[in-house]
Amino acid sequence: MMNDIATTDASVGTELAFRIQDLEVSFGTGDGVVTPLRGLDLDVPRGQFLCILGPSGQGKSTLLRCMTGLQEPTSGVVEALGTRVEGPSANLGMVFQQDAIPMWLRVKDNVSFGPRMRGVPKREWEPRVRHFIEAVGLTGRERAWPRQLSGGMRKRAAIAAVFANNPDILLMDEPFGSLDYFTRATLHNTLLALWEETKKTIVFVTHDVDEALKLADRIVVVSNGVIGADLMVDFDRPRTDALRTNQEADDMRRFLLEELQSKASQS
Amino acid sequence: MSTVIEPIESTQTRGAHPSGEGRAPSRKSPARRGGARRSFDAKLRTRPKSWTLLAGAAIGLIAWEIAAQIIGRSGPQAAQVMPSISTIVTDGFLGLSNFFKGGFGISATANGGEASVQAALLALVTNGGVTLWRVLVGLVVGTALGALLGFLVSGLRPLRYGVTGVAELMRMLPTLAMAPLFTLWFGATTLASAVFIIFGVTFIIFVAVTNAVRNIPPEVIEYPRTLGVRGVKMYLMVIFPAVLPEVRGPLIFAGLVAWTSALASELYGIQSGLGWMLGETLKFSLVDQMVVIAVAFSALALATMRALGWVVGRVTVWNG
Amino acid sequence: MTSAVTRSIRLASANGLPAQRQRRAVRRAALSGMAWQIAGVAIFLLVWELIARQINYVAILPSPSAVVQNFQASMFDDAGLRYLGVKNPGYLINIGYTVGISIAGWMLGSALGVLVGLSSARLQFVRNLSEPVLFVFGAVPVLVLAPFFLVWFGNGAENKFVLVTFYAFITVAMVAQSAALSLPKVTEEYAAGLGIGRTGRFWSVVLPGTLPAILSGLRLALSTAIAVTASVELLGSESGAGRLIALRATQANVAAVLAIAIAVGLVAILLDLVFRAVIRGLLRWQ
Repeated sequence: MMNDIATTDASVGTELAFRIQDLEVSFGTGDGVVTPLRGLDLDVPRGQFLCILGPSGQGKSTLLRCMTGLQEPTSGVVEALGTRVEGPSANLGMVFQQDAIPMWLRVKDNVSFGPRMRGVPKREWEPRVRHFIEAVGLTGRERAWPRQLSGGMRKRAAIAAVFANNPDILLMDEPFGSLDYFTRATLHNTLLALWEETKKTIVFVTHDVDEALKLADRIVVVSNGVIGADLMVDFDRPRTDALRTNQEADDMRRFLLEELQSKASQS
Repeated sequence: MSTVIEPIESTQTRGAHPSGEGRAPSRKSPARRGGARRSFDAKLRTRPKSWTLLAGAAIGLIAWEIAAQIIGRSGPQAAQVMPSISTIVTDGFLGLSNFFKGGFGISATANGGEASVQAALLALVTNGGVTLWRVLVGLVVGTALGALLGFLVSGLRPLRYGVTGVAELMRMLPTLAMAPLFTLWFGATTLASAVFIIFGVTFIIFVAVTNAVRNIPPEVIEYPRTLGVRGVKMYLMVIFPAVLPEVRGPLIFAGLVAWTSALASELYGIQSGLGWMLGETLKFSLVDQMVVIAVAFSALALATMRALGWVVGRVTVWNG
Repeated sequence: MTSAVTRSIRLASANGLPAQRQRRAVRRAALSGMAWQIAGVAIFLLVWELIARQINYVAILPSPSAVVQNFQASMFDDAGLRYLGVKNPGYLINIGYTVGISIAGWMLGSALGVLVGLSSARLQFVRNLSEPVLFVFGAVPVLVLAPFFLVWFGNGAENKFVLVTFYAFITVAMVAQSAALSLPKVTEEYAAGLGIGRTGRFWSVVLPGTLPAILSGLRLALSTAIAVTASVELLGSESGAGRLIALRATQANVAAVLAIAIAVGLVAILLDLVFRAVIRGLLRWQ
């Protein structure tokens, strides 16, 4: 049954956003060696909305950190747009679970932070910044300090900031993990709208199956340091509540939950 | 507790480094000099390297000797204020015999005794012991007093505001420069020195404790209350441990203040202790002896401050 | 007693109140707090006055009014101190001298301290260079260097300036280094992900992120720097508040010692208030 759903033809005929081969990461800790990734392969075509799903402690965050260049692999290859990833760069935007934006910059200064600091001329970033502030619904709050905003609003500012920096690829590490259900739902719609507008590649880490089903073109499950399952998700967009009663979606959800549960119980 | 995560050396020779900043993926990467593969975070923060302490000491000694050779050549006066290291370890050290007041079968130089290594060592040890004793008494009593006062006052808001107002003002006094006042009040005695140290330490701890109690998150107290914890038990079992992490810094600072105060009180008017010895060498510009005393004083302060840091770390180990 | 603690804690956090009421409640609490503080100081002065009158012996404990009288009498000039060889014996000018040297040394030392402290947390070679000095003087009173500087630089302003500069440098560098080492890494990772390089991150993330800690370190350094300067003046100086304290102490004039020390303390409080206003402006984002 699973073969009907799990079709993987990612690399066929498309330009790749990411090419990851035989990726291995291990740390020496006080208690010994931990190997979160052990020989992982993954290709991500451009423009794809990929969700990385997995139980905690199975390497999905390490994988994302390798993709952004925040973590150097012990061995293996991570290429973004045909070039080896050697460190953080402006072309690999990152949205974190925690509040990462500088709390001492007002909303507008925060959204323009990246281009300003990189010396992009103002006439170039100004319209982009205005556009993305409007797109995430923060118009009118440009002068507010982050602490004056709710958690959801701060996340909106973070998303606007990373889009305003105009990277080709966005990497998100459980960005909505700390938000309540309704805030999450509206932020999903905002993010999808921006994705459809900009056609950027998005790699989105989550442990929430429903979130993945709502957002992704493709879902991969990371377990034990390798890709455990790889499914294409081709439901019509915009995806609505109908997804909940859709038989195919239900099968997929059940499959993913079982996959996650069996892997979680092993760990 | 944070575990230090050491990156494992890459098996490959290709070393990738911070470079990838700017608009990067377009940049080609020629093979660069090898290096440990690390997370960005590990590269972010520096670490203390113990060899730097030895290197620093060596550089300090060499720099001193060079200065002594250059300056010392210009005359005997200059040689006295900038003595060479060999002068310091011989004349400087032996000269300390003059500070020995006799005992242990060795007579003081004032009574016709010979300057000797033993007499010099005994002078350092006895006076160092006196200073250490003053610091310890002052620190322990001052901390206990400040903490007790802080907890007592925290219970009642008006009292807390009233007393902290006075304490904040007292804290801004140039306490260090008030050492003569304590010798006026208590005479040139160990008591004067100890009270002076207590005076400095108490306010620091008091202010720290009242602030820490005020900053306890409500749930920390409300949860035990739902369990029925009340009164003195609440103070001992909940409030006291809850403030410990926040008074960690002030406690270390109080230790430094205690040493500084001990030095200030001995430099001014008290006739024993390493500070007194330092003050005497200052009167006659005996820099060679001054160096030996300062090194002994520093070693003693460093050792006790390390020990204090260790104790404070142990007590709050659950807080990481 | 316990419930009073919880109540005051709850008041401080003012849980669950709407913003405006919360602000009003906080302001009211602050106002009543200030009233109690003033009352506390008043009671302290009153008790001091009463005890002093009971003892009735100025060489042990002069009353607050006697201290004030002493200050008024010698604010601008003092014949006794002039006789002892002080060229400008007025209290004010000597306090100004001490505070002036302290501020100058504090500014230079703090600027160096911020620079070295922060960069030592991010550049390993700066850490290696600064580690021995910070390791020793993080635990050893800088005052131990005072006798050396007195011999080398004489009993003028230079020895104090050098000592106080070094003192401020150590104090601020320690604070800045530990603040930069404990700064949550996520904002720096975020900035790196935007393509901002090392230098850019230093000025745009590390410096502003550690500013709250550094500013409180600067406050502490300023008030203690004044005390350090005055205490060095006890050991020998041409002028300054410490010199006057030392001279008056040899005459067992407790009222004068207290008058000078309290006046220096008041100047320190005044400077602290000014500096706090500046800090509030800089940290509006908090």
